[in-house]
Amino acid sequence: MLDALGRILAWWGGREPSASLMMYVAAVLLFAGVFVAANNRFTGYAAGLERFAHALGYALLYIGVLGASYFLLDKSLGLFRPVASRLALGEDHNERMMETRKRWGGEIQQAELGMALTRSYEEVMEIPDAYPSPQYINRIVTEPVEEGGIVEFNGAVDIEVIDPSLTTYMASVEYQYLVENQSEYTTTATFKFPIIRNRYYENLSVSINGEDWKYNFQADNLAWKNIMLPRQVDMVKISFSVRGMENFSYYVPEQRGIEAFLLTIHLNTRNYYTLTKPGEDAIELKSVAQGSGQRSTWVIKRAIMKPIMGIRLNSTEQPDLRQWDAISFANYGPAAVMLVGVTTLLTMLIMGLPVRLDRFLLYLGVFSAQFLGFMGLDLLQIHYVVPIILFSLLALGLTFLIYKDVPRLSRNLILALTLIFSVGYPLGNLLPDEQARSIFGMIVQSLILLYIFGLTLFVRVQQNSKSRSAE
Amino acid sequence: MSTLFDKLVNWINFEPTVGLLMLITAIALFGSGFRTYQQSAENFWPWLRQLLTTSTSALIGAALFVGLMWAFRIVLNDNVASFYSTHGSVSDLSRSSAQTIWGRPHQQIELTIRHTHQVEKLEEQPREKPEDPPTYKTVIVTEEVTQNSIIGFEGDVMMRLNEREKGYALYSGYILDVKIVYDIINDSQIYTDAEFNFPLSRGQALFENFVIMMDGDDMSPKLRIANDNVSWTTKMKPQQKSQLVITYSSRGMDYFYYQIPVQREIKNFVLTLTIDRLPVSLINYPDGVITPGKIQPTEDGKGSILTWNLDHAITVAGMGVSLIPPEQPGAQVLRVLVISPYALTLLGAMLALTMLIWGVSVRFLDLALLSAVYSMQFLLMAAISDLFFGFWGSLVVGALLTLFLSYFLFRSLPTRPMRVSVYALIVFFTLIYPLSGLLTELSHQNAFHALMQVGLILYVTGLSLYVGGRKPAGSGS
Repeated sequence: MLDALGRILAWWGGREPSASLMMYVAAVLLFAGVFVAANNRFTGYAAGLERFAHALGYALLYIGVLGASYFLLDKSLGLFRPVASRLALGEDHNERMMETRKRWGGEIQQAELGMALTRSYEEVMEIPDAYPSPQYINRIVTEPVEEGGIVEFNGAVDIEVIDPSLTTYMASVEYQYLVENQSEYTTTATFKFPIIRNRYYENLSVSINGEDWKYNFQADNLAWKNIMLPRQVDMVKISFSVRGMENFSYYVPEQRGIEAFLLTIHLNTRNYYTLTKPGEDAIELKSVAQGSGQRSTWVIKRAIMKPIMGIRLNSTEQPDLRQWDAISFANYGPAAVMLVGVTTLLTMLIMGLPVRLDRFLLYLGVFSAQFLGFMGLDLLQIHYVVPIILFSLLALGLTFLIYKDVPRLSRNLILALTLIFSVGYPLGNLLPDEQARSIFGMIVQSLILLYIFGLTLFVRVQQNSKSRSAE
Repeated sequence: MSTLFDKLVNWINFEPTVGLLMLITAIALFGSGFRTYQQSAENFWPWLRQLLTTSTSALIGAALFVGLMWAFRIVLNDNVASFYSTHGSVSDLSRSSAQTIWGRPHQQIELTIRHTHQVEKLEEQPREKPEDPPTYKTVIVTEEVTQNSIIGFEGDVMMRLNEREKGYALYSGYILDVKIVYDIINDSQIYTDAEFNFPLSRGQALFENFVIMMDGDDMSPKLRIANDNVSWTTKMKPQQKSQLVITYSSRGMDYFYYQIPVQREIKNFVLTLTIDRLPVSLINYPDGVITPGKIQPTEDGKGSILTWNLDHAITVAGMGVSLIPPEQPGAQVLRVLVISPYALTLLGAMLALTMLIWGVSVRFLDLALLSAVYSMQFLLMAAISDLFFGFWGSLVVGALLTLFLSYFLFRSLPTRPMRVSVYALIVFFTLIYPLSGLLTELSHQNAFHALMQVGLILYVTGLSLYVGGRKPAGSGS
């Protein structure tokens, strides 16, 4: 049992070194005070034994009461912190976003239309390892033609945001590519337009020079071929509607010479960022408001690059960042209850007041209740300032009632300590960095020591002047 | 002794509020019993004897209180365990067993059609001199005629919910009536051999009234059924259009979806899924499923009609619905029963503290009777909720009986304020506190418990101040 008790005290000392040290000092003082003040019913060893038992019981009870208050707040904090962190991180919203992503589809990163020109010719080939004499066969040879490709691009994307909280949208897309065979050969142009697997594309249409074109599917690409004569220029138009969320971007996957490139994205909201790589000095970007929405246009006149451009929607639902402050405030609850308990106890001992366990228990209960109430109301999404004010006033009022028959100076000191440790001390945890908080903690400890020292001096001076005037 | 202390510490760690309250109440009871020692004799030995006597009786009082609370906690914990063992104990084993018997989640994959034809081809023959003209021989090869043959789809799926019970728990089963109409075409200028493959939902327990009609002809004699797949072959003329009607009834569990497995241009596609007893507000979807374009309630408002209407579309995502797990029998009762041991301990401790604050000795017989009456509320709920009144009825009956008996138990308390404070506690723990078991959000549960602790502290403080104010000055404890 003593081992277990020792473990608890060691754990406590480790968690709150200075506060628990002050508590032991207060307990020793209490022990001494009770030991000295106890009635001498007996003489000799019996008297000492009774006094010792009496004083030890008292001191242990006070340590127990303080420990219980600390433990209660610490455990409640353990339940409060994860739930408040979830709110602060917006995890419920993140989970909804994740669910929606699975059903609606996530961001869209549209890669440019791929185009390859090839030409074919027939040649005679010797069959390898033919026996007994060489054998020959004709074969078709296909080789790439470098001259040609996309010479102009005009993309128009109309994004209608469906749910601003989840950032889901329906994008109506029309891409127009002017493609040219710049070689002297008749070539076969192979086109591949990347689409996203598991995504729902509506009203999909591919046309060349205004004529609907049939396409196949090849590994998440729409694929088709066209014969292109030397210097032939075609207009390839691809249009569709697709669901997406969060982001929409268009990119050129391989570095190439780009001319006459124009991408316009129109949205029915202005709550978005634009994304432009390699940067707005290389790509001209203009955003113009249109009604409740906005139109952003990217222009590349002549450059060699592999650009990415697009938009990122902002969710209208943001994480409850106030919860971080609420957690910081609540974090100081357990230490605050110990410090206020110790300082109040020492104040009463120094002022020579009788320390009644029932009142002390009620006082610590009331002080703890304000932190419990703060945590409870905060989880109901009430702004944390409201419970701080409400429960601090309640604690002050009840403290006044609990100690209303205590002399005025002592009562005011207890009320001041209650106010400081209810509001002032926990608010110190809102300081921005760890070092500042650490310094604040040390300052508080110094001030407590200063307060006790000053109070002791004050009481001694008062007693001296009283005894002098009595003489 | 050390083990006992460790157990106590573990319990307080597990249930800090109740544990601390019990400990404080036990200490207060001990202190209250111990107070008489101060009036003991002037001599050492009589004083020591008095000390030992009062210590022992105070210790017995405190231990009796803790023991009493523990005994009734055991009764209530046992009640929870008994109720849980026969109500809604969902397990993977039972679910798997229910699926084996009734049916798995139904996944209908789209029909696929493969067109082939045999064609004569000239195959070049090797020659010895490269300058010779090439020579050829004729060979017959089977070539695939690639095309998108499905030009229209109309699916009507009627889902009738049919919760299945297995191992005292309900699982969300359903019966499906499926009618699928495919408009197909041989979109080529070639006579083809069309091979049809219609996948059956994998590992499904039963398919009834399975009929495939092509242009009004029953295809049953041509069907080959193997490996969860139905296949048949037929000849199709160039540009031949046909209509294929597939009907069947089957069963399933948890979710249903229809999926187009390979990317193709989807034209004139309408899938209508009617669910008889799932209101629109409770519609949920399996992962990787696209949401329907239209959702309507059924005529009676109890069900939903989901419609997917696609044209010139591409998707391999499924279309379907996921059923919410059915409310297990006695789920609400169970949630209330689970907190009953906690509630009993809080009530017992608060009642003892109330008595001590009023300066009245705690009568353990009254405490035991109150514990019995309070426990009876939950035992009664567990017993009759299935039979007569459901959750709310059994809660009200149990609460009324507890309040009625408690009234008689404490009506002889000496003053009216004392009776009011005791009755207020009993009403709170009988009517309001059990309902906190119905809170499902963790943040709400934590908020309720924090605010309840505040309430109890304020109650004790208020009562102490009130009682202290009524006492003559200088009669402090």
